[in-house]
Amino acid sequence: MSDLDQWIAKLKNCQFLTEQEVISLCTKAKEILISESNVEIVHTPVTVCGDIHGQFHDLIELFKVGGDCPDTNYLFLGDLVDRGFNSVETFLLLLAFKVRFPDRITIIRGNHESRQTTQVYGFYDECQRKYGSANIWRHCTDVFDYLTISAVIENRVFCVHGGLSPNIVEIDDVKSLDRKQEVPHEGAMCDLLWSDPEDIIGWGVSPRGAGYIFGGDITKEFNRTNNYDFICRAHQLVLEGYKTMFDDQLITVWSAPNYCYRVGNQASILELDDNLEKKFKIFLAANVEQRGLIGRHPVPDYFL
Amino acid sequence: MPKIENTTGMPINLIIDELKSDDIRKRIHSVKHLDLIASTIGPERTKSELIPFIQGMLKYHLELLDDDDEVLIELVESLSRNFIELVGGQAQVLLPTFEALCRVEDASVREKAANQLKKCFALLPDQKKIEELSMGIIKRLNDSDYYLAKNAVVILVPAILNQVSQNNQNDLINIILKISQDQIPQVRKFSSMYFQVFRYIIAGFINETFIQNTLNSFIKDEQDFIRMYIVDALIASSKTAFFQKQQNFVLNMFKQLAEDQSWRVRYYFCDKLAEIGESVGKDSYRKNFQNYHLKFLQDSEPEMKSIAALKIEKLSSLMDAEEIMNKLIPLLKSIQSDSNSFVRNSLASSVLSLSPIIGKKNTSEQILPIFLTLLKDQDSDVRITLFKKLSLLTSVLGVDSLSQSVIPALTELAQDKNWRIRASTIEVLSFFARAIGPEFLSDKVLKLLLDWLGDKVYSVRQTAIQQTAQLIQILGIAWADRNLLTKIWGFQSIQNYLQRLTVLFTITQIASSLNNDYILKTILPLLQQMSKDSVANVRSNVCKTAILLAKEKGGNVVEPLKKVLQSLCDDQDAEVKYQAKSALESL
Repeated sequence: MSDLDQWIAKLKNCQFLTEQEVISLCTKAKEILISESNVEIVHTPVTVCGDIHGQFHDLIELFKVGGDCPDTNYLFLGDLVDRGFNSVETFLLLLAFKVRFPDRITIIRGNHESRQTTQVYGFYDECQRKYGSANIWRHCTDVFDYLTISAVIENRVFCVHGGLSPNIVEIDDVKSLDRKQEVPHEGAMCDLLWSDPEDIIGWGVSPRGAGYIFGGDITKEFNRTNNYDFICRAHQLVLEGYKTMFDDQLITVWSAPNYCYRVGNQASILELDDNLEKKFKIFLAANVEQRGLIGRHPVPDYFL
Repeated sequence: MPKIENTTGMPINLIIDELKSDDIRKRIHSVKHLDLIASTIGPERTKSELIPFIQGMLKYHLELLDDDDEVLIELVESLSRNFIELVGGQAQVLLPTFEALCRVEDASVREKAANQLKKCFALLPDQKKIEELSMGIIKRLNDSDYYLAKNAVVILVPAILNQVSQNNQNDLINIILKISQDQIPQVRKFSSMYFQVFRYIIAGFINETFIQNTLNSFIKDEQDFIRMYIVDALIASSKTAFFQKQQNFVLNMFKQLAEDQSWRVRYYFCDKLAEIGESVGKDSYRKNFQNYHLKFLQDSEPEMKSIAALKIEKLSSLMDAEEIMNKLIPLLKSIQSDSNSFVRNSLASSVLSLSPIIGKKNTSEQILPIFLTLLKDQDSDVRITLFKKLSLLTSVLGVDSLSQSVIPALTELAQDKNWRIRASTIEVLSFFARAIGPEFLSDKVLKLLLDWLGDKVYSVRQTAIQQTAQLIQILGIAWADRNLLTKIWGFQSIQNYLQRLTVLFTITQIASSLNNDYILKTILPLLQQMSKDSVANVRSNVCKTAILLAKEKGGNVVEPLKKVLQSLCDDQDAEVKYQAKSALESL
């Protein structure tokens, strides 16, 4: 316990752990994640969060708005790594929370929690830079394989990173998948992490090259079949932080403000209280003072 | 010599080994604990092994020039602590290391190292040694290829000037002269920044011509950052005979700086105006410099208006009430509506300080209108700054006259969209409570506090809880119970669990102000009730609150609190069980 508390304290300060500590954390995490179902059961009250993408200081901002873990229950919809500067600290902090407080936080896999994607979009490079080798990356991507791929809140809200799949009609279809593998290029597991909703009828080809686009009819049919109130997902940037579609039967939550430190968008988290009442909390990027100094680099003398 | 205790949790040998580690963080950690290493191995081994090792490390760094600035910063800090003691008082041993540290890129390291050299010189046993070693070091640094090394030279020369022979003094003066006229502006800046008129004068033999010539060459320099430091040199010289004898020269220099075409120089001048006023005396200030301050308030550069407005507070003590009324206040009317918010902010932070000087009637006629305008400023920072200085106004005009205007302004800020503004406004409450007392915390204000305690953003709620605790410390638990606490305890039945948690967080924060009777009568039933809450997070926090109260208060509350904890030992939630069990174990 005290090890974990120490690691959490370090990570909250945006200090990354030693290689040994990371390996130990990953091992513990796998032990907990292995017993989670493909459709993890989550109870209210809970606060749902979308993509974080390594924006550590904005994650801290998120905690300032929504409350600290474990006092607040959290469900993260994946895409914790890549693109931002601090994928390592972000992922390890949430993982440490998961290991220390397994009932207070749930993490779902996003399409970026994969070996292929992280080699292109930054997580691999960050691990190399911070640890001098690919070991940490390898251990983290092993943990990715164990992350669950969906969750259901009180049997009423279906949570997934991307969207739906033509191969998934009933929720049991998800349970029967084998998730402990690298994200496949096609098939049900891939679709769940890559698909997007769209104002169309039926299914369509996704411009992303993986998954599908699906319309309101598909959404409503899925919800009716499985008795869900709505689907909660992330995966797509939303300037206002959240977006509802199809008569509130699908909600997109996006939690990375000022995405890539450029887009200038708002971020949001969705608070579901004890009775499943919805409240969106909007927040903006942490500004420069809150980011703190990244290392002590004194201004060189010729900058007068 | 006191022995330093090893609180690192690591064996000394490991710390010593890690001085050579490849991992920069380990090296920094070891360097931080150099004094511990030195204290453990003793002065002899420190001198013969540790110091040479550090010098080797420095040489390696300077040659490889990797970005280990952080190591150097820690190194000079460590060596500055009590190393002279740790080498058995033999300051001489440390000189080469500090000399090497005067050659690095980081300015703060160079300055610290130079100051340490000064310290070492002062501790050397005989005069001749001091002269020999210091002249050697100064000449080597001055002749170094690395021009930044001259930074240390300008710090060291004034320090030893009056301890060396006539010939050496001449050499040193020439070195300073050359540095002042060096072709690299950076180097000239060193000379200007550290031009210690004071020290040059007490050296005795130097005539004022040297000082005047050097200052004259600085003031004609084309670089503004060289001209601006003359201000410091002149202020520092105010304790010397030079200042008295050469009044005209000094005043003239000041005036040139006040009228400099570069706003940076004017800014620097204005920033130090209060110190200048002190050094020349009230009468001279009023005659020579007061007008400049008034001019700055109308300068075309907003930065100038801002610094001039900011300095009103300090400069008001140099002006008399009539001048403030006739000359200063009319200028403030245009500043209060300046288009730049930071200018208005500066005004907000200092205008109220004029109230005690000009008296009640004038304050009411002249300052109050400005205050009311700033209170409605569109920039919330301006309003908050104003609040923080409110006591200056209320001490002159009284509380009642102000609550009518202040409270609506506070209410508006309390509902601002930006949560950080809502949070900073809360902090204003304890200012008021301290300055004005409970009369300020009327029903309206208390309602604001309760709204903040129920804010949708967690950090705002936390700030409100902290403020509540502060208010209770200032105004007492009886006041709180009558006016506030019962309403907070009412949160326990709110549907949203995050709001219910506020009850428990509040109890934790105000624990030190509670007495055991109150706890038994009011808090305990709350905890018992909440220990049956349907949400596990609430029950977890009941455990945390219970154990904190039991430990802090002791006595007759321990047993009932234990019972609450025991009831949670069989909770269905793993975390609640763990919290309850470990709490009981620790009791």
